[in-house]
Amino acid sequence: MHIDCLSNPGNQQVDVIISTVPWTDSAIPLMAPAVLKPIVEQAGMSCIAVDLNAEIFNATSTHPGKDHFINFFFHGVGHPDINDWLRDMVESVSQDMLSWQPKIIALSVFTHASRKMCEWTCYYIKKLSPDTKIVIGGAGCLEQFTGPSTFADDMINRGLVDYHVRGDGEHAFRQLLLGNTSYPGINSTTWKILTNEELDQLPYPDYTDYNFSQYSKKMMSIHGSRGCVRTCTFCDYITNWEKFQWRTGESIFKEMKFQYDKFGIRSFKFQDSLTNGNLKEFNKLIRLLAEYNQLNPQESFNWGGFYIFRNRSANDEEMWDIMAQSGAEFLTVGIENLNEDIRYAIGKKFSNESITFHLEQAQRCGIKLDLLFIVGYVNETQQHIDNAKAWLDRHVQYQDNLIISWGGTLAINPNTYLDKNSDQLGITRTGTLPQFWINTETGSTPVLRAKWAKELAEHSSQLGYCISDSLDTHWVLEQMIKTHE
Amino acid sequence: MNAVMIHDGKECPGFSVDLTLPTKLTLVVSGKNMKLDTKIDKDGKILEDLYIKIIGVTLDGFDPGVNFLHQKIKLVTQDGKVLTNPYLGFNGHVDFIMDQPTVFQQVMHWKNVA
Repeated sequence: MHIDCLSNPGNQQVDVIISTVPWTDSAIPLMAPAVLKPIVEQAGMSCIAVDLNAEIFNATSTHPGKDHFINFFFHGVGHPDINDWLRDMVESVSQDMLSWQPKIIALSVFTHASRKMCEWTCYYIKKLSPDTKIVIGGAGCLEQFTGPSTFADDMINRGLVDYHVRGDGEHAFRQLLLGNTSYPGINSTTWKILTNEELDQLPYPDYTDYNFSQYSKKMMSIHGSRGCVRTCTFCDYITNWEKFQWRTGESIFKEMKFQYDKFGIRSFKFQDSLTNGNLKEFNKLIRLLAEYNQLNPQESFNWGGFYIFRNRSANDEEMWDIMAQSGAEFLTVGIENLNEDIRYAIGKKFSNESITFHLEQAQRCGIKLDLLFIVGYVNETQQHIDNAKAWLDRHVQYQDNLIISWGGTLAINPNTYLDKNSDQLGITRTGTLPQFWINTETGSTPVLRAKWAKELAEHSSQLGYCISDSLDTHWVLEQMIKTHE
Repeated sequence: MNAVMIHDGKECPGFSVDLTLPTKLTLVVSGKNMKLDTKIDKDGKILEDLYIKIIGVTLDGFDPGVNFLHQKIKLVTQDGKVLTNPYLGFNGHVDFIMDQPTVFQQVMHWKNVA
């Protein structure tokens, strides 16, 4: 099988290959290889950095047996209609990687759905070339953000992988390349966080080896920060990234201009957990972009990303105007709950009045909002659900500008505030899934919460809101009902 | 009573073998005395038994899945009965038929049929 992104007709040699591992349903480039390529080159080594996922995702999407691939990528189970194709693909990927005679192959495991492919790719690489070092990293290696990685440990114990890098990989990966394999973040649960200055000074991601014709959207990923300014009680992201790290508005703007000059792409997706964590720098960025867009209407930039609502302040209307001029097209906002008391208990202290104001402004400015919710907070009751329905009834005028994600109800993940205070909050675990808990004080059970999630989805759908759905959500809700009824 | 697994003449709790696919691996259960090694009460209830239970099979580290253990391990007893179970409580043999040319194909085949 011909793997275009790894083809090596000139029999060239590189020191390092960095690749994404299928399977991620993404219309835009996955950025890890591009982020790490300049790190490798700064360490004095040569490198190709490819988005294998994009090529394999496209190939599986048009394959006659396309319906069977999910089962392979998620569970490692093949099907007679695709087994030969899969074997050929995994063998070809491994052979083509090794055709570059790399000393190191680094695989970015973005989600759990990349694990099976990672396992088989490593197996074939090690069979063909046992001395080639394999490094894995990415959120898909982790069961939870903190603590050991069962997956990575198993891969290392089986001799399929040599190193697992976690956290801000830029430090650790560089040290690994330089031979300092005891550096924090390499085969360890602790890692060294980048400072703001270091984050600002990182080289720009290098997408030279990406084939942009593979993507259905001409859009590039970008990072403006890591971590979060909030300390929400349910959040496990902040247990891993304990500090909020941010880049300056100028630095982000320069990168956008650089990438446009090099690749002709003017649409950007911010992969941060929030774009407006540092309001001062966010304001600088949107003003720089607005000014640029005004001067270059034929080459204007646009962008989208995660965003936090704050309580309304005096100059917010102007900020929404500037955001629109800066090219903001869509913002994903974690509202979490439509009841103020619950939202405040979560740690999101903005009022319902402020939500309405921001919805109005977004609609006025033509900026789409994707609203994320968590159903069934620890103290949530039927009255709160009824309040949420009433809120939806009262805000139908904004529905054309909104997408609503109700999600798979409250998950209590390890090391979060909720996890650490479970006893005080009256929470008892009823199984291994983080959604499996009861609150004896309020009578909240997995079955009840799954029922609420379905109720809210149905109610909002009937009112005409656009609802975002996922297989994961359905699976979780089904498990909550099946296991507890 | 203690059942022991013997591989290459030595007792072992588990074992690994080098194979070239396709091939067949046969596990033989022998030496069990059904009168002495299975104790039953007057109602026919088993009080004590001698058995080997297969708790896991992997091919180059790849697990064919839990269904494989329960659906594909077939003990052929000395009197020709076929018992589908990872619990081997009779003398007989289990054939692990690996008729695929590669580990990938064999693991997928096992997972497909299981």
